[in-house]
Amino acid sequence: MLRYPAPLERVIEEFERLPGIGPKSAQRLAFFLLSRPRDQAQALGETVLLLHEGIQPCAECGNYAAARLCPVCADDTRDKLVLCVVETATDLMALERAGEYRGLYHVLGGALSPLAGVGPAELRIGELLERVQRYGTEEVILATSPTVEGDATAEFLRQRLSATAPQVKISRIALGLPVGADMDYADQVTLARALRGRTPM
Amino acid sequence: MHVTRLSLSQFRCHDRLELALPPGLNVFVGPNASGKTSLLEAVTLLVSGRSPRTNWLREMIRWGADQARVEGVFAGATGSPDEVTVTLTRSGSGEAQRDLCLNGAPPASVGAWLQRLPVVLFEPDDLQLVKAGAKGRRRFINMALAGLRPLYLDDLLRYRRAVQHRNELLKQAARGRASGEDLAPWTAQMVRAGAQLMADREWLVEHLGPRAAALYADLSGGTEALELRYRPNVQAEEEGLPERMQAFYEALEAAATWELRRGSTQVGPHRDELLVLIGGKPARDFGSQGQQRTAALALKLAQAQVLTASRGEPPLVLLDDCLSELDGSRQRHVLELVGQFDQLLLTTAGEVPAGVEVAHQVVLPPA
Ligand SMILES: Nc1ncnc2c1ncn2[C@@H]1O[C@H](COP(=O)(O)OP(=O)(O)OP(=O)(O)O)[C@@H](O)[C@H]1O
Ligand SMILES: [Mg+2]
Ligand SMILES: [Zn+2]
Repeated sequence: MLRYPAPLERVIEEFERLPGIGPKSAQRLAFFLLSRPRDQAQALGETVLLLHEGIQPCAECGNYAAARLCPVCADDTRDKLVLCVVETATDLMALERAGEYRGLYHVLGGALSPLAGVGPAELRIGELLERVQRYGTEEVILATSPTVEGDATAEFLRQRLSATAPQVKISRIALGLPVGADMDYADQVTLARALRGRTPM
Repeated sequence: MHVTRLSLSQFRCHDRLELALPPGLNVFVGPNASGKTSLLEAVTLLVSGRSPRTNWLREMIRWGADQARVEGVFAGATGSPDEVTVTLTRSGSGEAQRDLCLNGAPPASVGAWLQRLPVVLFEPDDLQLVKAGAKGRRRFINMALAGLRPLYLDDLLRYRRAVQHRNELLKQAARGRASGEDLAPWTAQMVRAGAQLMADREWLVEHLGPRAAALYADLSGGTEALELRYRPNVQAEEEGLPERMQAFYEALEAAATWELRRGSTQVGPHRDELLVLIGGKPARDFGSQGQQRTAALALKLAQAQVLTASRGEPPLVLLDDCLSELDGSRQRHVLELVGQFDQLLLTTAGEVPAGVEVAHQVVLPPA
């Protein structure tokens, strides 16, 4: 089989390893870069090179940060007595975009999953409990995803928190749609769940 | 619901086939191996994304062809018709790739798929519903509920996933690598979803039972009564969700040592049973062949009736070769009963009993 010259093959291969990119898209991207002025590929390469240099986890919440603290933790107008627990920094961004929340965050780094070998030790749970003590947190909002794993993680955290910091108020919101659900069906399911989870007024 | 247009290309033994189908009774006649079952299989593929015969999609692509394509137009009581296309493409030596298309847009989830187009398929294998183990009857209940309640499939998948996670932890716990604290949140998820499954199943059997009993009486003309009884693996004194959860927790408590030894979850709705009784005795053990066949038919018909009642619209009914074992008058009777639905697609290698009104007949040539 005829193959592309090695540098082109390698770029295609690297693109293919990115999520959501199949062989066809990878080729299209590589050919696009090749067809553009050299500067554009140069700029892309340099930006990617610097990705890890400039980014570190926030020393407090685990969010991506360009300094020791992320912009949220560095913002002193934030309500430091409320802590919202999310699975990933992407979830944090989604909540920030909603613009409603003015407290702090805690990024767990995933959800519990015995099948995938993720136990409490693999998540930033110790850090969470320590922060709650240190800040004198009054409310913790558990905003893990509405999957079985996200729900079990929230349940696990609820148990831990009520054991170590019984004075803290704990609430739960489920963040986002379950992965793989299409909108139509997910809407139905969300609606049905909302009905089931109704509260008396 | 009924299908108005059906088109097959490179599907099983069919090269190309274009059919326009009216409501009412549609009969597909042809000798053995002429592709009658394959036609109904194609309809099932359109509404569920799967085959009732095989787990391998690739088996449906015509030998020597690279791609099979099935298209159907489904008309309901309300709204504009749904246009569904399924394409199966061979990919190397592995499973074929499936592309679903609903009204020009790519797929809904399996859940949405099962919800959208209600179909009930009758096939000779239905006998196993009565004759074989509990697994087939659980499958029947799951499929029926998936078509009725948007949350059921979601709950079922959540339940199964929680059980898997929990089983993994039970194995670790046996080696001292997991604690009760690790197990608790998964048990909670499992119990919550499981209790909901039990409640839904109870609801279904409550509505299925009387209908199946009436249908059986009607079909058999006999004196012995058919009775359906839901027997959850976890029995609760009362039917509320909290009571079921409580009972589930207690059953788990009682099974704790056993669970650790086996490294898996020993109680719960994955062990539920649906009892089919004739004259008070399990049809599985004591029913005659004819009684078992009639009971299976009554179960399926009852499912179609519950679907009709709860959706306000009858499902499409597919009858694959189910009548051949019944005598003439009974065949007529079954056809009368299913005549209440919108449309029936019936296959037969023989003849349609006299006195039955046929809306449309398709004759398939020998293979
Ligand atoms: N992938 C395929 N490609 C081509 N032919 C196939 C394929 N799969 C099955 N067949 C053939 O298609 C034929 C039709 O099968 P089908 O079960 O639809 O017939 P039928 O009309 O229902 O027969 P019967 O009356 O015996 O039930 C069979 O002879 C089978 O060998
Ligand atoms: Mg057949
Ligand atoms: Zn931070």
